[in-house]
Amino acid sequence: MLTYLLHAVAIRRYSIYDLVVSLAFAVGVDITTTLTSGMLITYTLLAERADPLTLGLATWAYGILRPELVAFYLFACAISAGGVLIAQALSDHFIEEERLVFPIGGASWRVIGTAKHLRRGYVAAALVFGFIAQLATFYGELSVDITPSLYLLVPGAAFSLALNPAVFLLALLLPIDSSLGVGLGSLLTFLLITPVLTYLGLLVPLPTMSSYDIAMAASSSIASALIGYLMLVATYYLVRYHRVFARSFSLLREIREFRRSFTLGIILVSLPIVPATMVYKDPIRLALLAPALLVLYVIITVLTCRVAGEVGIVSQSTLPAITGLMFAAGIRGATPYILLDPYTGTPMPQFVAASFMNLAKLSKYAGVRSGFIGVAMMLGLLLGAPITLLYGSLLLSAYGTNSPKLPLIRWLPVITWMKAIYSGNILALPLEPLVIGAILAITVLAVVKLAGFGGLSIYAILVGLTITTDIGLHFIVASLIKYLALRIGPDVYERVVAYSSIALAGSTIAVALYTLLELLGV
Amino acid sequence: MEVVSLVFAAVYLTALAIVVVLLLRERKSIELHEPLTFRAYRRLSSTRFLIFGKILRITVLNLATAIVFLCLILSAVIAAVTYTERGVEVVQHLTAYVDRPIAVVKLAKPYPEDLVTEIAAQVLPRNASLTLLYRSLLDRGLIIEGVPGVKWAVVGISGSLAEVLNLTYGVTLTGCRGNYTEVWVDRLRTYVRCADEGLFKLRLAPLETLLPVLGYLGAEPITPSPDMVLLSDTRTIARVLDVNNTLITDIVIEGLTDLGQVKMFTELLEVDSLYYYSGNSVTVAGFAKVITTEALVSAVAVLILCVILVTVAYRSLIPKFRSLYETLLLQGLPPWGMSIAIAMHIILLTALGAAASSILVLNLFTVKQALVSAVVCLLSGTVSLAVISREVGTVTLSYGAYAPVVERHELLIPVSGGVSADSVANIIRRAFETNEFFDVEVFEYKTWGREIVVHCRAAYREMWGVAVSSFIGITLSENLVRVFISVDVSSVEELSESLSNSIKALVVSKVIGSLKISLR
Repeated sequence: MLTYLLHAVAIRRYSIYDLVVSLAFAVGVDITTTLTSGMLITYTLLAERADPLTLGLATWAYGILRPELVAFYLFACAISAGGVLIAQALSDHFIEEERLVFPIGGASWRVIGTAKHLRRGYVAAALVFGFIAQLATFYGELSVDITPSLYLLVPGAAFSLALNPAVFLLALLLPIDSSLGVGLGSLLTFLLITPVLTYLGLLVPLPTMSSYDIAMAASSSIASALIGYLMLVATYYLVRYHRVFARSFSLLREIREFRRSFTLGIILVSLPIVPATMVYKDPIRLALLAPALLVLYVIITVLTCRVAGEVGIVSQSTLPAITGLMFAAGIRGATPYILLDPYTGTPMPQFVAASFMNLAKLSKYAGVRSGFIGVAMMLGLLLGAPITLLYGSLLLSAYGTNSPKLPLIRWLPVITWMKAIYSGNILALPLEPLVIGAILAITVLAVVKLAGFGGLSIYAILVGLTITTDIGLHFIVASLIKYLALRIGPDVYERVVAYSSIALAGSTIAVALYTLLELLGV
Repeated sequence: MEVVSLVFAAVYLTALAIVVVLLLRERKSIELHEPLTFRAYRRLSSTRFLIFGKILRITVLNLATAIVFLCLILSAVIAAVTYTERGVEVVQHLTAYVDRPIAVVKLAKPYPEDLVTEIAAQVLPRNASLTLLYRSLLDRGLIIEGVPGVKWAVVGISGSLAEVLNLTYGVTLTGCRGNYTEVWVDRLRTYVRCADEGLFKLRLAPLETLLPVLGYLGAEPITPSPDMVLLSDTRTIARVLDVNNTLITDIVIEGLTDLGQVKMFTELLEVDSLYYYSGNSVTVAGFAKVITTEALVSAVAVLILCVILVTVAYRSLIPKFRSLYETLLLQGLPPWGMSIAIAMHIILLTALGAAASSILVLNLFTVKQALVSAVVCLLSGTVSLAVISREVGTVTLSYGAYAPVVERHELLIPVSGGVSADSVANIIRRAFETNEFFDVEVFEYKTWGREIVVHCRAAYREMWGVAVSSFIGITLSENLVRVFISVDVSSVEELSESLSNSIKALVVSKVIGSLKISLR
């Protein structure tokens, strides 16, 4: 949306092709911020708080800017670019065969198309509204947390209400049953799963804990539950679509373009195994694990794309499976995870692949070949990497991990969890929630298939499992509003979607502005 | 440089080279097809809102509505007035055993130390060992020259524990990770000395650490590491933080006291939570309150009564809605329009009722009761909505008038004279082209003697990404034209069945109508 506005306002004369290509490039650069500066800061903190030697954290993953560091992060982005190639080979499968919606990609095109026909005044008003609403929440928090009262009735349950315009506007873009599923998933987690965890003794709630505290305390169990749920959903998905997949893979073999793209992508994605075996103390174990890991990579890539296609949001909920596999296989020490695990480590080809799928859908509507779009995105990834890495290390050197301005003390719980995983502490991934997750998946599938309640999306619930109730409620309310709007008239529905995307662009600007002001110390 | 880094660099450069190659190759063929454009369909959706607005205006001004409104407000107010709450204690089991009872009282806000000591002297027996703590996380970290690390947490201790730990006035302890230093800091007017890390890992009670807790990982608390903490007695901490009064946030009592005595603190001070460790269990008393059973029963009773009354009141309103609806159906209101109108009516009344009752209760009672009244009003409104829409829904689903079966439709039209295949195809083509709801994308037909097959793909104008694909098979005989229509709706988003049916109905009815009229 912002790129479109930039083109429309600043660069007056442009073609659709220009727009989509620059969008792809921008998305590529945007993803590198997570891969480079985000992970750099995390690992530097990890190195400060835990002894790097006992943790097995390689020196080239953290610290000040120097050649080894740059080489590693550039490598990570190159590997992630492999995800684009894999997704390109499979894009026909998702878009044509499975006919997935990819709501975000579709909504972007829809907004660009309808924005021309909307009145300028309304567009500006929507932008301003989104901007002001988001800014208002920064300066005056509005939230109600009844978790302490719930503690007395159902220990472990958490429930809170808050107002977050950006999330609400995003929820308005998703299809009705997806946002309902996301909201339901979050309610299930904090009103059903966490009390069960408390009953099993895996979670110790205290009367003064807020909703956020409970979410943090249960994070390791929820990660386990995610893995359990995921395993079942993945099995179901593959079994159900095995014929379609067989057809797509045979097509892969025949069409030279797809074959080339897929092979190149797989090679790139499997490359980290080489440096991992070079550095890890037990290379045989890694080498034996490698084929299973590769197969899991492909499965998770496909699953993440499916989730993005149906639910819209490219979520990290599918990634803990790989962490789980490595943990169960007995891989200890930080370095192999840094190289091979997309959840706690750096290369994230699965995430990139799913983001590319949104762009591919957009390019399909725009009439632009997805091949070129993929190349543009990869270029964005590779060229954006050094820039964002520089930005991250500038931040670190300006503030340091001990700076009074950057309260990195809040990252401590995440760091503690990562420490627990790397040192093989079973507390980090307990087994009982795994079973709970699997049982939940079976129940949901039964409800959808047997009770005929087709409006529920199992993938949406997967995304919702990681979301706190205050955000989950936004999704439920948004789905109700869209339902009502659709009933009043389809054009009302269209307008809701169009204006909410524009307002979302406005609130994104507000977030960026606020972060800038915070950094400058205003 | 390590070999590994060389590998990294090599991979990156190769990837870059591959991308450049791909770029040059792909540049040649970019355009795939025409972009999916939008044809602006200027339809005033505001008319629909106007219609609903007028319906509301007509139906709001009458007795039944007033009854509903009053009912909602009264039920909310009654529920609010009868609302009472109570505190609840929870007992948790411990793995460790505690010989002497320990009580930890966490205050809701910092109190001056003198006040707390005075109160403690009144409440507790003389042989109880008392420790007062000030624990806090700072908004801005403190940097002390000569001492490594930024300090984010302060812990001040006075009382029995301070004597046990040998804390002296004017000396602050912190963790230094090995290197020992002792520095006089002028700005804070205290010595800062490095202490053994074990000191910071102390536990006051089985579930209570000395350092403030940042969060929990499962059942394990996460505390700041020692080099982030300043530990001293309360007066020194007050000096470090540059406050006039020595403040206290927690009270720890060890000794033979019973729960009742400790609970007296809650009456004299604002207490967040209270933990009483004894034997194998800990009794936890929080500040949160929960609704009493009597209040709950009264709220539920009032809710049910209200729902019943509201439903009855609406029964008298529904005929009025129905007559309006049937008039408007001719204007093009969708079949579910009546449920929407009723839903809007209820929502409006519920919203107004909630606002009115909470303002009323707010002026007479507390905020909490106002919240309760709003919740009860919303709940009764929602339940009534569910009940009424169920009743109304069954009514509007019957179309009454002729409704074509829209999936596959067969028709026999008697004709007087000979009809040519081309003329029939033209009739159908005109039917599609003049259909104001659709834009024809593809129209093709093929004739075999007396049989025609027509395929038409049209885009639905009102919604984006919805296309209708229809197959029409026509068999011409002496005095009969047999028509077979099959329609399929495809869309980007998932359409509900009723919406998809109405789109199909739009196509089928136009085609059938044109054929029937033109062929007579």
